Amino acid sequence: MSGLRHTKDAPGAKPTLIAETGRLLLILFAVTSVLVPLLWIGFAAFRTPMDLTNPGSFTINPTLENMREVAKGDIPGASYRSFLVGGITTIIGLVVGSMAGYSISRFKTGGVALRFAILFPTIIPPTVLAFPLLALALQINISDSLFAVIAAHLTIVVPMITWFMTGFFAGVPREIEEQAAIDGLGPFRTFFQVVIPNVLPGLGASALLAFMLSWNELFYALVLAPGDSQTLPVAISAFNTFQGVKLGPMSAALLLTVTPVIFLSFFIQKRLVQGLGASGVKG
Amino acid sequence: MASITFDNVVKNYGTFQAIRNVSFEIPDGEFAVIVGPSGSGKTTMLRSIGGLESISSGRILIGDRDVTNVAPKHRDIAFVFQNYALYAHLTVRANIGFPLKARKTPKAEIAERVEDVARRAGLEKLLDRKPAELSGGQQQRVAIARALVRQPSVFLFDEPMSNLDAQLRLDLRHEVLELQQSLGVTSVWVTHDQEEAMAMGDRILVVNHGIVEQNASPENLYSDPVNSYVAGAIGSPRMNMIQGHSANQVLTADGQNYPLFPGCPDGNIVAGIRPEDIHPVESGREGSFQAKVQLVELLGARAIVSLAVGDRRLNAVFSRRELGDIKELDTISVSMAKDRLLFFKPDNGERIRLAG
Repeated sequence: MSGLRHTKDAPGAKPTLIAETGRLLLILFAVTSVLVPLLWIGFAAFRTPMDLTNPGSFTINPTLENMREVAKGDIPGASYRSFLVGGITTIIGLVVGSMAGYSISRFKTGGVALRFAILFPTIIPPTVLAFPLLALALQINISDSLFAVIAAHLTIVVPMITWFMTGFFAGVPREIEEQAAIDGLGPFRTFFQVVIPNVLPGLGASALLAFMLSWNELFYALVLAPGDSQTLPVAISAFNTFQGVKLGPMSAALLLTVTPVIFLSFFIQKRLVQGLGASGVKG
Repeated sequence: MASITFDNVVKNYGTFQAIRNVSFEIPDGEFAVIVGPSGSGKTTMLRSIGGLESISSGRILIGDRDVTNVAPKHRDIAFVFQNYALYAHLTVRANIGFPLKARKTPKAEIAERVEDVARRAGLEKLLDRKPAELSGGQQQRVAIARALVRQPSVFLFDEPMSNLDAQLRLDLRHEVLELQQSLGVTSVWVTHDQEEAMAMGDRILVVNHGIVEQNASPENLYSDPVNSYVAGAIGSPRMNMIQGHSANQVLTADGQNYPLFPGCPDGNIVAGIRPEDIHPVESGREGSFQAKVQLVELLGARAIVSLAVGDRRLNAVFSRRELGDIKELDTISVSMAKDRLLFFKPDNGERIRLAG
């Protein structure tokens, strides 16, 4: 890959005007399609309901009315629950996923097949898994609780972290573990004291990615905990009432939801690419 | 302090035999070098001593203790890896102290011993750095210091200098030898570089295809190799090997005649002569033959002279005085030092020893 990039940057091989223009247009399109909805939400969050009824106009009489309504309702509670679900999902995901990833990477557990098969659960659409999970949750009396949501989120997060970390562990020199064995460490101390410090960047990226997946997840949460244990996406979807969509408060709530996500993505994007690369190339 | 003994050791990887029934002993306090090409089994032998590799059959002893089934941490060894295997997240101080900390040594004692070892290895000023902030040579010093700190009874080195540049290798070579001599700890050093082996070893084990071809002092390997493999593997430039038919004190090879001397074996043989044992002589002298100078590589006090005898190339090393005004494309007379000729069987390379 670096070789390709190298030829591109080589002097004398300047891209033609057409190619360069095309490239910029493509980037502009991509950026626009991501930014416009975000900007629109940011805009709408501070407009009055009256202004919002006329989507064509850009008049703004800045108001905190929407924010106030959001603060009064269930959004703060839902945020707290989402934070709890995200946090617990991430912690369990990290513990199970990193150990599984280490096992697959070092001991070839499950062979080459498992390395890739581990991602299969993430291919199954939530619509397929949601109702069996609901039936199960009802049976063991955890429906409409955060436990059910956490369990459902783990079906996505554990395979994802396992796969992600497998690549990171492959990059840790085996000699370091052999050195640790000579120095007198057992397998668990070797894992925690010697191996884990070498994959901290990957672990950090995994944590953020897992948290974001859980934080944004709507479908499982909606099916498994529609009542008192609503998470943030479920609570926001409730602004879509039978009286119509309450655009203002919904935009305000969305703004509050995406802000931490944008903030986090900013930090992890570099590591994320690194991790994906590590996992893919060394298969 | 302890000797190291291999007793009929075999190591199989599936159907591949990495170590084929090898026995040897490295006496207490010696610096032994295992030298061989890649894939010869030399690293596997070293890792077996360290317990990083389990063996398929046979026994390994450190001192009088059978360690065949003993875990690495209980073998009382220290291992220095080719890629240093430093703990990247720890400072130099913590890296060196790690083996002590892992064994629950009191903190004050750790601090004292780390300081002491760091001084010996010239690392006092670098103790608070992380490995990534050090040069390759410094990283290897840290790895060696970490090996020293526990005062083990055996040091094992796996090609520890192959990632360093030439000058640094020479420096570090001296330092390691001095440390080893002052500590008197039995050491095993693996390398593919025969020059490094000759320079460092009290004893050299020449390994090829999973067996030890010869286990002897550098002087003995050089002057008295047991077969043509060892003769070719030790010494640079390589020993010249002339395969031909010997009769009446003349070796005939590819239509060329090479004068031998009374007592030489008759029949199909391989004659081996080291480059430094070929000398220029005045023409017509008994035992001499003609050669054309193809290439002269001046190395200062000596020169490597590439000679053509018929279609055959022979390497010779002439001293500056011998070289005189010999230059490329000259035809000169040379002779082989009689008492330095070695003979081998052409089929298996075994040495043919002369009677008397």
